[in-house]
Amino acid sequence: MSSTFADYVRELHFELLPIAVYAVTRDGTFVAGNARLFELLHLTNDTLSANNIQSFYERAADREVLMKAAEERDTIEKQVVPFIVDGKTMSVQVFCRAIRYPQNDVAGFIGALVEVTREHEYLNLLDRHLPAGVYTLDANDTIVRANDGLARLHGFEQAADMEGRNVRDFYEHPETADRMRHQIVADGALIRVKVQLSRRDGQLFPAYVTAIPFVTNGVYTGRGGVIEDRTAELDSETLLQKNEKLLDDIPVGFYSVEVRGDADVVIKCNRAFALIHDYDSVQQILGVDIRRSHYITEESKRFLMELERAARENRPVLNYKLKIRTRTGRIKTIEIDSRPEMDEKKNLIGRTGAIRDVTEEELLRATVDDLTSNVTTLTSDMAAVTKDVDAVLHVFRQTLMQLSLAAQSAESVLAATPDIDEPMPTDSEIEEAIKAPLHEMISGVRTIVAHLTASNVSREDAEQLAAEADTLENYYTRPQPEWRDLWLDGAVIIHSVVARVAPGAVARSIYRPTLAAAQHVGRITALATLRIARDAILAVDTPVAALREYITSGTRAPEPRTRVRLQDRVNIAIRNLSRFASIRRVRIEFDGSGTTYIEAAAGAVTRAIGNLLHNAIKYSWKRDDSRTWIRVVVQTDDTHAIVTFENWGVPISTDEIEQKLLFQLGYRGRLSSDRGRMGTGVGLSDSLRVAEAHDGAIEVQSRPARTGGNLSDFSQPFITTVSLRLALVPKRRKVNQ
Amino acid sequence: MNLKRRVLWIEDSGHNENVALTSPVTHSGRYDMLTVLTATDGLRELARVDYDAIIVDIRIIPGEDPRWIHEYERRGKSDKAARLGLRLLQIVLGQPGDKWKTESVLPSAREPLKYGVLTVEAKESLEAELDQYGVIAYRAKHAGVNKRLLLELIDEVVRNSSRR
Repeated sequence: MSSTFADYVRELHFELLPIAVYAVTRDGTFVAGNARLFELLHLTNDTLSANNIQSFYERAADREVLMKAAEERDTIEKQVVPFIVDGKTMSVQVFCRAIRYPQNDVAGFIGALVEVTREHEYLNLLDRHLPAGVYTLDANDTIVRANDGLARLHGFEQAADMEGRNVRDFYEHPETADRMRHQIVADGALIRVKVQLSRRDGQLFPAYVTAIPFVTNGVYTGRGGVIEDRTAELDSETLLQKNEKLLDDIPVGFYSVEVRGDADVVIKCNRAFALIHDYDSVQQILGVDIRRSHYITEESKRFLMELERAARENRPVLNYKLKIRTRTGRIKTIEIDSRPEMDEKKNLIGRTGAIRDVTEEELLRATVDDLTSNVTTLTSDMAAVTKDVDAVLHVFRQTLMQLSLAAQSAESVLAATPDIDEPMPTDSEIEEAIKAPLHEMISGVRTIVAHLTASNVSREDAEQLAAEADTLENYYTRPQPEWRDLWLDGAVIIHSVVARVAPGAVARSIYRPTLAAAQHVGRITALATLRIARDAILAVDTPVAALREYITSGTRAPEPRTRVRLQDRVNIAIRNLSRFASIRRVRIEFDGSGTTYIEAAAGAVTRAIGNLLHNAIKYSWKRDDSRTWIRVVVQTDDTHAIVTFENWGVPISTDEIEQKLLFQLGYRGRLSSDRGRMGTGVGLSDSLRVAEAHDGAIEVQSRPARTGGNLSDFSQPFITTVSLRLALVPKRRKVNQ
Repeated sequence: MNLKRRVLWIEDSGHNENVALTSPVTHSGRYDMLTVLTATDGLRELARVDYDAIIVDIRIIPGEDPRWIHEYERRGKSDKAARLGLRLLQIVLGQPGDKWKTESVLPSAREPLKYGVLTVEAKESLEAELDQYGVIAYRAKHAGVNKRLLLELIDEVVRNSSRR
């Protein structure tokens, strides 16, 4: 049997154990150690007995505490302590038990060492940075361990400053600490109990305390736990309270309902929810079955089905519109966002969500839908009408061309003997042409009447001839173009009667010249009438074309812009209107030799130029000296090309220019209808639209032609200049034709 | 006696409103002109007879060929929207599309210079397509035109064609 502690230890045979194991005497001298110990403390068999475990403790007190505990309790004590090995600090978990040998005296200690440096570093890190306070109290509520988080909470610089203090010092009411200790012992734990703790400077802060007791052999030995700061949470609660006030103010109803049988009972809501349902307060609506407010049963069923579906799919119901009847009977539409809740048996048990009163929006939407529908119908109708109008105007133009061609044919016969010029005859030309044959016809009729009366062949015919001659003679004395038809009809009657009654009754040499004169009068008047009609056809052709283009502009694809030589466009417009100008005896002066390029929709620009040129021709007066012309000039400034049309004739009043009345669709100039000028009032408006589409404008000036002429005297000729401005490089790329 | 040149005029108003334009053509003594009123008849003629000049109106009616009727309906059922004259030029001189791919017209009908366009439509609205097909002769119909308008256009086409 062994007689010494060393013998005792030797018999234990712990050399091969997989952790560092040692035996030391009471003063700390190593008696034995295994290979792992040697490895950990950098020892060997030879040096072991010359070393003392005390020398490895960084703090000598640690070993004393451990020894004392081990001696007193006869239990295996364990403690993490700092060791220094070869000058390097490490954390070591020490397990230690006192060995009483051979009697009751403590002969030494055996223990084990486990290096926990890394783990301890993690713990230290956690201790330092944990956003909560961690603490250990002994049985007397003295703080034996604290982390940096706890120190921060209480306003200390480091945890050590708190150790050794009694926890009662940190409670707003110290007795609370006592009460908590009792409660912990009684209940086994405290979980997040709200308390008011104080900082080092006496300032209080709200906190949660969580703690578990340490009990050894049924004896309370202290407690450990965590302190959490509630300040931020309370801020949130305050904010929430503020939000609740806000929630009452915003027009969105928040609510929770609980399903009880067939009822959806309101269990929580804000004021807006109550108001939307026409309840005056939250209290009034709490407990109300809100499902009864659903206005249409089928809609309500669909909504509940959608809720169930959403619940099964674990998703909310969003933007669901439902009609409700409020407490006061008003019908409203609400938009619902709701998250349904189900129990474990998949029964709908309630929902939480928000509602919004969208009644007015829905009314507006319905109105807009109606309007859209009406507009669609109207647009469709307009498209049909536009198509019809286009077809009708196309036929008009075809007919105008047909009439013009027919007039040309008739003229070619009637004008075999060119008594009047090819252009539209003037009043004096007609008068001049008609005078001689009219006189000859009337005097011939007088002679025939005398012969008929003398021979008493046909009194009645003689009287008719005499009456016609009287009529024509009356008008002959003051020939007026308006009497063309009168002359024409008179000539036809005279020719008819003379041809019937004169042969056999009157000498051929007498009636033949009269018949020829009647034919002559008829031919000249018919020719004049035809030419005036043809002028009217030509005058109206361009406006009809412009009207057609204007009306159908919305149905055509936008015309792309290309590089356009403006002089070419003017020449095309002049060519198209040359016959009209010729008939009106208007000479168009234009020097087309320049080269002005713009980026433009060629068709639209040609049409605009044509409209303005047509106006210039139409509103020109014949000059006294027979020199009637229109001057067309193309110029440029820095940004625009300008086509200016200058004519001499019909005035435009200042107010019509200043008020831009001329550009209003359908507006006809106040003085524009003189001398039977026809138009549609579309040309200028259309041209302005084209100009504006090319970032341009139309400028109009009208002034008396004679120097010093009165601006209000519209009986005099005016010089009118119309300038079409077109941007050299417009911004938009396409133009509606 | 010189052989008269053959002219085809595809114009739905060729027997009515625009008939006055044919008189100068006849009186010129140079042309033997056939006027057809529809796209169907026009295309049929191009497959049947070699013409020296073919004058096409843009707004023409489809005629009895269901394909032309379909084209007409597909393009808005209006002469203006359908612009079947332009479609006819495309079929003969451009890309005909599947439906007309096998359409046989005489080789002489595939010469763009033999074509002239006489229409109420503004030239600018047709220029892109006419350029694409190579058609250069064009006259606008309006009330200010002379009776010799059609004759002048035919003369131009014949001149262009013979210069080729």
